[in-house]
Amino acid sequence: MQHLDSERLAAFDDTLPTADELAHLAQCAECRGERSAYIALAQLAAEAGNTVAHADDARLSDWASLSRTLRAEGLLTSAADHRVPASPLVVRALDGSVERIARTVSAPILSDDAVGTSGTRRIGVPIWLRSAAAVLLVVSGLVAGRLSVGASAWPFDVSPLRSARESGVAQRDDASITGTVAASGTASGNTSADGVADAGGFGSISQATDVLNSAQRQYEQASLWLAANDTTVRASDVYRARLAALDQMMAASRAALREAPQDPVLNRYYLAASNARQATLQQLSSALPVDKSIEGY
Amino acid sequence: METDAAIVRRAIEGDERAMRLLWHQHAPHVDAVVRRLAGDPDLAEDIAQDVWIQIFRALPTWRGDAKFSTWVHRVAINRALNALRRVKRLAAIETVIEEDSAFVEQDGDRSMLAATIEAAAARLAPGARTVFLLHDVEGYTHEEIATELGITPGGSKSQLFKARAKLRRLLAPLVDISEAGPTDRSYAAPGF
Repeated sequence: MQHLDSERLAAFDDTLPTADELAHLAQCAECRGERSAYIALAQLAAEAGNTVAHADDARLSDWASLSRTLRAEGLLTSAADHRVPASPLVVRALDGSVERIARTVSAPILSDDAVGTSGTRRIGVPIWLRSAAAVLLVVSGLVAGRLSVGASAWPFDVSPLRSARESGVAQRDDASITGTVAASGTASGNTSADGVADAGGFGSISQATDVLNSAQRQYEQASLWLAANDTTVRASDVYRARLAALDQMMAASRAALREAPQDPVLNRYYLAASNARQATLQQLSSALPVDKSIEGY
Repeated sequence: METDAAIVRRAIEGDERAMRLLWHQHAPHVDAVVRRLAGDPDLAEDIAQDVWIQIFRALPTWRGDAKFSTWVHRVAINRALNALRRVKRLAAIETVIEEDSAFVEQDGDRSMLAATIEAAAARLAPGARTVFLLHDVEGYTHEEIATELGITPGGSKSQLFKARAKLRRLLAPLVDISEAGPTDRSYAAPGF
């Protein structure tokens, strides 16, 4: 008796056996074994489809080369090219007319240069801009804190409180702020009294952290107080420019926080920028003509 | 945890981190597919790079109705086949497929057993290997294979059954179930 052809057996899942073939299979153990072998082969093949390269296998593609090609094609955009529209400043007049002032903010994305071989990443914002933002925040916080307690803005005055009293500037009528400063005793203008700054440093991390937290609270309070009480008349363009700058600071801080969400320094920068933005919005609102108000931002 | 859809959205906008994340997550799978189909390590590297560029180009066409990994798998196969066509690896399939010479070896290779199905498939002629991999490994139907390779469904079946017959011999230790071992089938009558 002739056995079934191998290619016919290999078609086990394509064409049903004829009656003669079935009869042969029923009698022939060898052909049944062959048929089982083809079924096993198909199972092996299906299992091979589920395998992936091992983790320690060398990758066939490498990101450095791939990213260069993608960038050349414009699929991967650099930080410099990647600008996204920010929400417009919407000002509504009493007559119902709406003015939308478009703004553009550099998006905080990573450039290819920002991805190092060690896997560490840097923010796609120029260093000078980040440094300037940091210095601006610290200095403005210092100045606002000193002004809020009646001290001069210049931090190296030997006796700021005395100078302020003599100039008649220190006696602010905001008792709450003065009270807060007196209670904490950690405002920049009072550091001499603490002996902290004079000592050239802090005694411990917790002490420095407490001072920082307290200074931040005072800075926030002073910013909001100034926003509510500073009657100096400025053109709304000044506030708009400040808002745009603060938005960029917040974008940079937000991007940095995505990399290091627990970093307390970055968190403080973000909060400071956010508070300054809120205060500026209030000031802008007061600087607008009486028939206009900020509807959205 | 960020969803595939969210990562893809960011990647479409040109976010390098998102693109790199997609590459990192799916490269092992793409590599496996490309290695199987290419059969040649150097060629596989070129194809893999090409596959990823195509994946990023085509990202906006992923509608989310299939899993992203499934879509990537399809793109990888299609792109690999295109690349193989470009380098003429599949050029002869239309002529070879109608002949009975899909395999360069007949009974002389019985002693050359393969340890894995991929190693065995590497010994097939390019056209037969591609049909076998697409059907039995990747799960394509004969109609889909015919469309992809520009052949008829009948031609795809013919190639598959011949490929299986050869692989069955090469992989005897892995697939033999009977105690008697592989049987000499040279006397089997063609077509019964």
